[in-house]
Amino acid sequence: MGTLLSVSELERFYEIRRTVFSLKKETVRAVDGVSFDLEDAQTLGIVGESGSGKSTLARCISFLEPADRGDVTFMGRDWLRVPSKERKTLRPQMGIIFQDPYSSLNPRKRVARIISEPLEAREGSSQRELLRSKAIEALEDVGLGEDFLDKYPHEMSGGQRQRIAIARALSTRPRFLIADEPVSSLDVSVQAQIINLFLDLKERLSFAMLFISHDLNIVRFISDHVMVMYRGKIMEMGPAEDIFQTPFHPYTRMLTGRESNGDAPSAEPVLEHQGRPGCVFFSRCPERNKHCQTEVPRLSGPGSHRAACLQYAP
Amino acid sequence: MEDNRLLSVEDLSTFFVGGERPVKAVQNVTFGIGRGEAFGLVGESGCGKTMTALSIMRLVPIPGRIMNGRIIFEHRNLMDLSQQEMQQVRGGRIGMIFQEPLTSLNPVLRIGDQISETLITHRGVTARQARETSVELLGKVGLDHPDKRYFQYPHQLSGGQRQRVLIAIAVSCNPSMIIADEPTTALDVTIEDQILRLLESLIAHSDMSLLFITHNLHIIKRIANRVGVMYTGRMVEQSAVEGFFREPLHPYSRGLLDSIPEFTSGTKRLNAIPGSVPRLSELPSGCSFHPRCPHVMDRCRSEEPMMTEAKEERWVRCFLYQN
Ligand SMILES: Nc1ncnc2c1ncn2[C@@H]1O[C@H](COP(=O)(O)OP(=O)(O)O)[C@@H](O)[C@H]1O
Ligand SMILES: Nc1ncnc2c1ncn2[C@@H]1O[C@H](COP(=O)(O)OP(=O)(O)O)[C@@H](O)[C@H]1O
Ligand SMILES: [Mg+2]
Ligand SMILES: [Mg+2]
Repeated sequence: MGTLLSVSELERFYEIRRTVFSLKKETVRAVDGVSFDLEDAQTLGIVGESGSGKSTLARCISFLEPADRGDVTFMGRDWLRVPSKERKTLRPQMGIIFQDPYSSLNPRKRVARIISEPLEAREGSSQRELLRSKAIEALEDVGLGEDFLDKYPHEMSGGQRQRIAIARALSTRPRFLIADEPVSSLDVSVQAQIINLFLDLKERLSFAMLFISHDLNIVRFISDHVMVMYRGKIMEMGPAEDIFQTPFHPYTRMLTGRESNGDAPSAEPVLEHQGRPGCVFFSRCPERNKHCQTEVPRLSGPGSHRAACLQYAP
Repeated sequence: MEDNRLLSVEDLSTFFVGGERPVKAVQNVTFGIGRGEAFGLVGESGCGKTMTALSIMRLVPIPGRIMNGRIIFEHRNLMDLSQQEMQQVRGGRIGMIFQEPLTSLNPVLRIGDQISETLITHRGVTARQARETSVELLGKVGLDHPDKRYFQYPHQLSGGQRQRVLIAIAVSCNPSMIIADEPTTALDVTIEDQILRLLESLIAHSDMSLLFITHNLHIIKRIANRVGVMYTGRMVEQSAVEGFFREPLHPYSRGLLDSIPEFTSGTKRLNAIPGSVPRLSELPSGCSFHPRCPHVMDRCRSEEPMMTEAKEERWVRCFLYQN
């Protein structure tokens, strides 16, 4: 076992206009100095409210969009800066699955094409027989039969479409899988099937996984480690059971229902506090004091369980 | 119980007609809600939860039609009322909160005026009284600076704040019941928690009843006294909440709980239900759950079970409990 992925001080900011009429641009710090390591065959769960930067982080790591600053080391290479030719040869080692299997699968392509694309990029399109047999193998991975090869996405249920997305992502047998809210749009009973599928495949193919979800119970069930994000920053990180059993950060306790947020000073996430000194969670924190307004908490704590909160600094 | 009943839905069936075959969205559904009680209706998407709620309000969209059933609410059968009388019930006696902007906020009206309008229509108060009460209500549902919020438009509010405004409208006329259809599904867990607290405190401080529709069993456990589980348009189990989570009776109920990490009896894996929910237009014969059921028996394939009382206050539609 070794470090497969290492993310260091990653940043991604967006300039936005709050309304169509406003002249002034504002900066949204979607990913704001994120650092973590992922070991081979481990699952890191990422949780956080919507808008906390989970998807942007996933897109930057997978190079679907450029990061503004920071480093990503993947399989020992400087992933964000390797020559594009080398990235192409590394690409099959990184599979990606998105939340909505309907919009992430091309509606005009048959399943056979959809699944083969990543393979084709590696093997070349002349290898027709190989591609077909690999596609069938990939379908079998996800519990679907050969008869699905000729179907279009709209002919399948949501659960089946997500199985196709998983088959596609794993067809190249990647060492690393990014799954961004892969079960969020599915019904509970289908969710359970897909979660079991992830667990089975992980056991058999032993890839590492970044599993993003806003459902904390699912993340707890599936992850080895968990990272809690808020406003582009890591609030807390550690072994899954530690995070859920003894959450340090007030935000994590809010998310896990350990602490009611009914009396929190401000209920809703507020954009205005970004870029100001102090803790990004200040305006909502039930345990804030005057230091929190000026001092930026650093991620620290005993061992691998760390939180970015002045109240919990060791 | 009987005299404490606020709502009785009896043998309700609502179909979508006009296609090749009717889509039986709601079939022979029977349940009741007592005064002050919170009833949770749970099931996966497409099982008929929303159509059940819309049938109660007589708002089923065309080409849907209530084919059969009685809806006794405050001692009147709503099926017998004129449209005008129904109008008084909706928003007056029954408040509604929906996830979708179906009956939700009007984007071009200030939120305060939208509450005032309801008050003027249903309570016949003056514009000035309506405005005062509206500001009061905005504060009651937990919005800051209610007097300023009054003048804001829906787009100026966050999702959670908009849902609070809907709740303010729903309770504005002191209804005896609120129907909430997935009111927190689009919200973050932290905001969901607050909206649920608000609903909880509103019920606790009145004898208002609640029909809460959700696909989320955590919410049912938290907010409901009784629960009804729907599958393919039918109610398959109805139980008091404690008994339900301790020992779900219907194999589908067991399967639903087993699909959730917190409630599953599995350890390394979830005990997922095999297969998928059939289309309403292609329902299997007999019990519609039989192809997925771990306890399937011969008669399940050909006969449809009736809702029977398996234990005290616990009803289930399954041959395992009929002898
Ligand atoms: N392309 C974009 N342009 C401008 N802002 C964006 C863009 N993508 C994301 N954002 C903003 O970045 C923040 C983080 O978004 P996102 O990564 O989608 O969060 P999450 O996946 O946790 O919900 C949000 O405030 C979002 O509005
Ligand atoms: N306009 C419509 N035309 C035909 N069938 C419909 C229509 N709207 C809903 N249905 C059917 O009614 C069923 C029940 O829908 P609904 O009550 O909205 O389910 P739920 O709220 O439980 O997700 C659905 O499975 C769908 O097939
Ligand atoms: Mg996202
Ligand atoms: Mg619905």
